[in-house]
Amino acid sequence: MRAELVNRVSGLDRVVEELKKASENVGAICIFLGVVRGISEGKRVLRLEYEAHEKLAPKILLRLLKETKAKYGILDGVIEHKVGSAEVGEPVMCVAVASEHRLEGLRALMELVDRIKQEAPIWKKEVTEEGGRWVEEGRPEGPLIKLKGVLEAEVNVDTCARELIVKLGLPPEEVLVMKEGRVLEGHEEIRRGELVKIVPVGLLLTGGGL
Amino acid sequence: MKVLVRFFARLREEFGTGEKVLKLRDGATLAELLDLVLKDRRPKDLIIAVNNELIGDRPVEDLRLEDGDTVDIMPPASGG
Repeated sequence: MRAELVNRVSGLDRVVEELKKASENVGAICIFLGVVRGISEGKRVLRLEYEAHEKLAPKILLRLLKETKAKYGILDGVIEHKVGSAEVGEPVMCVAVASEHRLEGLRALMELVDRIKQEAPIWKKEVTEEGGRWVEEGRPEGPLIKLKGVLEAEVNVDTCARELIVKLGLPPEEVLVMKEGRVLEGHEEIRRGELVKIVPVGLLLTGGGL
Repeated sequence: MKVLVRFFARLREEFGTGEKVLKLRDGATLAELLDLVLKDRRPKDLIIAVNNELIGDRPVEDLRLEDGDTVDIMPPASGG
């Protein structure tokens, strides 16, 4: 398990070889490689400049990796994040997880990438022909809707409870997903075509409408 | 007592410096320091660390600083 800031992101072959050694049970290696986009909001990008808290960032990246391992049962993982100036097309973040099967690997990877972008003290300045600006997407002000009652739905994708909530733009701490009368844990699967109920936590506590 | 305050990324540019030493009363809290430094522009999503440890959800009013502490004030993450 490795998480570090780097001047140059390693080649994927090296990362794959490293993760294959984690266990004989490795059956999937899922990799996210972020690269510098050439156009941003219609402007030509010259470079990105990455800055990080050199002591805190590696510690937080490693914690995120460990938490993801514990949650999804992946076997190993690697995070490399670039600091310094990056040219268009250059890889700037490599997140890779090894798992027994693809499903937990893909889900772990998805969550890990999101959390790195939201939680690791790393910042980027985008330099275009028009000048430089610090990119701060920030957290959304709030969900588009506030769920006031039980939402019954047929799910159109294979997913898991947490992913479904996030994709719907609902706050994960405020709603629960129920299937066949049972509250699902975040990682539990939901298959395409299955019926679920999305329930505000407050309503579940009072039993209203269930 | 003296506390070192460090600014990162956008904040470093806005404050025109990467760090400065503040003199505070003994036993001052992190809330007092933030009020002093950020005044009325204290967005809630800043990342704050004391001595290289994130303060997380701990209330800044309860967090007492000590002489020689380092407080890092960071903008929201934007890596990746």
